[in-house]
Amino acid sequence: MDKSTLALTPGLTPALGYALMIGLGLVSLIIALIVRAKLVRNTHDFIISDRKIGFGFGVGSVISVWTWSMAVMMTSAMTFQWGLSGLFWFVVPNGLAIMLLIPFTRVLRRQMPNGYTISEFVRHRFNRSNVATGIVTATMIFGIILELLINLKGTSVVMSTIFGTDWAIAALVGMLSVLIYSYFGGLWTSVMTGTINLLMITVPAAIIVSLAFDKVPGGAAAVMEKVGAAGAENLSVLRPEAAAGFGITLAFGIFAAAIADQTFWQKAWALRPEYVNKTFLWSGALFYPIPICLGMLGLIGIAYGITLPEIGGDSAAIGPYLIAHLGLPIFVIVIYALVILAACYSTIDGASAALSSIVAVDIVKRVAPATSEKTLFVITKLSILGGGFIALSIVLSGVDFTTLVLTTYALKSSILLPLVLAILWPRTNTVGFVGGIVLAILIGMPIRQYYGDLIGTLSIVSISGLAVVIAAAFKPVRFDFSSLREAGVLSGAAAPGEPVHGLGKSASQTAS
Amino acid sequence: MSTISLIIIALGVAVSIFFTFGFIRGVRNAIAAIRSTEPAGKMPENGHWASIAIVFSLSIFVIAGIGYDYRFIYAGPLLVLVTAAGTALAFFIEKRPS
Repeated sequence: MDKSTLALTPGLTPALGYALMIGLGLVSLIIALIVRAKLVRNTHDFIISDRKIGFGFGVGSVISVWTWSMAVMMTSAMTFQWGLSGLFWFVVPNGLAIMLLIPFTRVLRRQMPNGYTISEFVRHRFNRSNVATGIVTATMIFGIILELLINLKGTSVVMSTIFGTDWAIAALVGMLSVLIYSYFGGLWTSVMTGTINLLMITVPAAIIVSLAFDKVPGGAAAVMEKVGAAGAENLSVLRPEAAAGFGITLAFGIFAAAIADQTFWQKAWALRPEYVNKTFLWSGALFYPIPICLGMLGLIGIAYGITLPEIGGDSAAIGPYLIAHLGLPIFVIVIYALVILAACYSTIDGASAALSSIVAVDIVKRVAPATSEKTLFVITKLSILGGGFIALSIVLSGVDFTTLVLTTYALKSSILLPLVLAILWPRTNTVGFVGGIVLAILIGMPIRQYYGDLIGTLSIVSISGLAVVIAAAFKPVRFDFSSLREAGVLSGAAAPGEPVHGLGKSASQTAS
Repeated sequence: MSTISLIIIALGVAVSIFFTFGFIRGVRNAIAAIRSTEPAGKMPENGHWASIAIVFSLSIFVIAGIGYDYRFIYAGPLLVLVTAAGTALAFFIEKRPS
């Protein structure tokens, strides 16, 4: 297995790369226009799909939204860096995080059937506290912007590695391609294009990985022999340095990312009630094979003895590098690029749809409740473009991929336990919730900076949780969850049959 | 091309066809749901804890298995086809609103 035999497949021009990005965007745009004509009548349909998303689109869209460029590329990168332990720590918490949302979605959807956003829940949970709501809203928006730019960065890494495109132009073309179709159809478009993207990720991934092993002299058996020869620890899932190096931090971060992500809450409130729990169970279970499959490319990287400088210094590039250099036919490489584009686009459009719900519910209707339906609809759609352009401008400024991911997760870790307790523990009060998050950031983040990710993350989670418990002991109150049934800034104030704050739906229609 | 790759390609084609039919059914169900006036269903109580534990354990088994037998490498590609097939199946399980 001689790495000097690896050579870039000819014919992979930047023009082909740009054509793929624009082409996928145009196909999605056609779907968006059809969806808009058939399924979107008002802001309510745009941001919550009239709470009528079925089981199939639920499963397809949750998996595709969770399949970030991270899942596609970082799974190979972590396997390449840490062997099977890297794969284990990257994959196992990822699927589990989706399934562990069930206890929370079960409570919230039943207690607050007319909800739209998690910030809206916090507002009602903590006696309309502007501070608590503001922190959660800001965290959600920040998380979504980071979600957008991480995936945008993923797109640019792939396109520049495979097709030699200018990464900045690739980011610009990619973002414009997604924004244009996301603008038209909202959540319905997101779930339908996301589900199509899931097909474009799964079947090609299976074929590409299998063909990649065919291209290696000696096939899978030779790869595993070389991986073992490079270090017996590569074959174990119990490598302690992988757990300490990134695994435990990532596990907390992934769960925090899932629970503090409006993308999932939007779907939890948009699904038909009878399919909510089942959707998150199936999505978590069916998500697992995607990173397991694509992670196998990292083993080929170890077998060839590829070094980081040879792939540009970023381990995320190992998958694209191998696919472009193993001598696979050009159409296979093009399909691989489409797999990663599909993953990036589906996550970006899902995040954009989530952002639109936050802007409509948590910003516009709170600041200006008298906003007309027509104006609200326009602002909601424009927020998708606004979020995209903010993310694009940050990406163009140039940031490190892995550091960015871990920083995002550390910040979301501070909100993890307070939010979990707010949903499940009636004694959680406003002081504990706000104090927990603020103290975790003020004390935990410097600890993380000085003592590293593992101690930092554990400190952040512990401080935030302890603050909630201590505050509950000092100021005992018990929240009545049944009061949430009347909540809903957009739906709760309307009498049955009356228009719901200009959303074009009636309270009786929205009650589930 | 290896035999396993041929099998994966054939299964991939079959799964894609199944997925397409499922997607079409899903779109029809979505349009029917939007037009439907029937009341929303009820939120089930089931926490699915046993299923979560089984899936969690299986994922660990598959990843650990790769270190013991190189043939487990193909579990990933084969299972990812199950992901597509499972999503298609979800379209057929859901009830079309009247």
